[in-house]
Amino acid sequence: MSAVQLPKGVLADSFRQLRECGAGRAECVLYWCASQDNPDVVTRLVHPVHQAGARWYEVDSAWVTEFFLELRHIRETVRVQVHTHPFEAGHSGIDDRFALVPVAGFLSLVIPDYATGPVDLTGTALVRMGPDGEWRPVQPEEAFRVE
Amino acid sequence: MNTQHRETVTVTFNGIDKEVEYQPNAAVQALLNHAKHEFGAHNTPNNHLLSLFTEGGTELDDSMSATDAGVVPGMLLVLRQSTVKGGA
Repeated sequence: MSAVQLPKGVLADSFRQLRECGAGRAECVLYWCASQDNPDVVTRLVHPVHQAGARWYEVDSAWVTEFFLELRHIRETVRVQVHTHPFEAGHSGIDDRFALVPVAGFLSLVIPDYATGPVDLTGTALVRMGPDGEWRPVQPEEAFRVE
Repeated sequence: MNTQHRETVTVTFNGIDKEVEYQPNAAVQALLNHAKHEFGAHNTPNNHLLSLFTEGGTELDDSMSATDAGVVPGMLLVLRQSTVKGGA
C-alpha cells in the first residue's frame, strides 16, 4: 500500500490546532482531506464542530452531514482521522466503533499528550481498517511520507 | 419474473456518490444495506452504527418503508455514522 503524502505545513497546523483547542486539558479531533482524484496526497485539515473533555470528544451530528455534503461538492474525501489522547496514544474501543469513515483502508491517527509534544509522528499510534473491518496497527513512519 | 418496482437514489458517503436501487415499499433498512454494500461498509463489525440521513440532517427510520420515510426517486441521501466520537 502506497504511503500517504503529508505536507509538513498540514502536520504543523494540525498540532497547532489540536493544542489551541484542547488547551492541554481536553481531547481534540480533526480530519486530513485529499482530492478524490489523488487520495494519497493530503491537502488540508478540517477542524470539526465538536465537544470534548479530558478523555472524550463527540462531533456535532449536524456538522457531519453538512461536511459530507461539502466534500461531495468539492470532490474531496477524508483520508485520515486525527485525534488526541491525554497520555499515551492508542486506539480505544470507542475510537474503533465511532470513527468517521469505517471502511477498509481508512486511517486513524492518535497523538499522545494532547499534542503538546514534538511536532512529528513520534509516539503516535496509527491504525488502518482492514477488509474485515478490524483496525490493525500501522507504523506511522511507513504509512506517511512527510514532506 | 420479478415484478418488484425499483427506483434509484443517490447516496453520498465521505464525499463519494453511488447510485443505489431500492424498492419504494420495502423498509429503509433494505436501502441502507444496499448502500453499505456499495461503499464496502457492510462487513465491518459495527456497520449497524451507520444510518441514512436526508440533506437536511434528518435520520431515516430504518423500520419504515422508503416511501413512508419520505424517500423519493432521485433524491440525495447521506450515509454516515449516527454518532462520531472517541475517547481514551
